[in-house]
Amino acid sequence: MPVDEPHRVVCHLDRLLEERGMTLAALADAVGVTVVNLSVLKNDRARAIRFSTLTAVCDVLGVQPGDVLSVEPAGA
Amino acid sequence: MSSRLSRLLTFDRTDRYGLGVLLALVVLVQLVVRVVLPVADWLRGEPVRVPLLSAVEVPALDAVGTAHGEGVYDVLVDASAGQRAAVVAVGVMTVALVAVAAWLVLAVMRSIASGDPFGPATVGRLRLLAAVLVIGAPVLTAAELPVQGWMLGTLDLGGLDPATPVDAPWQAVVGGLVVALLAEAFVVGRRLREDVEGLV
Repeated sequence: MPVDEPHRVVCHLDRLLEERGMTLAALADAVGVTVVNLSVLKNDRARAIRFSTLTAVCDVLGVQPGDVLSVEPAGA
Repeated sequence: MSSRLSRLLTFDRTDRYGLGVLLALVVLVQLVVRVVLPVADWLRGEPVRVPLLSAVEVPALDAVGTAHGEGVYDVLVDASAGQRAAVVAVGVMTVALVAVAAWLVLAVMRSIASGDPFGPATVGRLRLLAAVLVIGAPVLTAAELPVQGWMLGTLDLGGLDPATPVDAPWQAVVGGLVVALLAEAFVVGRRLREDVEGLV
């Protein structure tokens, strides 16, 4: 797939937060990024994520990167 | 670099105001010198001052071996209405180009000050500024020389052999090329910004 095509990465922060009864603001506070940036990630509008942000999100939620992000099958 | 020197070289609000005033003055001076004064001279019937590039022989200086050669001498020409109109037309063209260049510099300065230096408008303005300098300045010179030649051609120069200066406005051309290079740097900056947008 050429890199300039739209990505199919889906973020599962919504579900992970709901399962933990956590708000986006609380996660943003714990991770150390702004709510706006985390909202961009949650709503699949992010185009890239720093490894440091992903590490912090995984640490706070106690999950692995694959639990936070997945790639939708082509044509789905 | 020391912090003091770094502060001194920072282009801050004072520098922006200073550059704005300076550019306004440059346009104003060009307007007065290239348009207002020639029109005033025309109305008063004063002669037109035309630069003459010529070698002058001075036997007394030659006799003692003093170096002297080609020089630019102002010649007063009792120009016709058509010649005066041509002088004013070139003056208006000069003022227009200087005003456009000044406006472009101010617009780029404003976009940088507003924190959005890499917008497409900035790149377009820088490229236009480069074109004004690289193309506009030589065109103005090319337009001015025939007018001066026209006025000198009506004079009896008393044996003086007028030369045609083939010097292009190199400073403007080089400055324009540097601005064009800067525009390309802004294109790269815009691409980098697009890459960073959406980075969490």
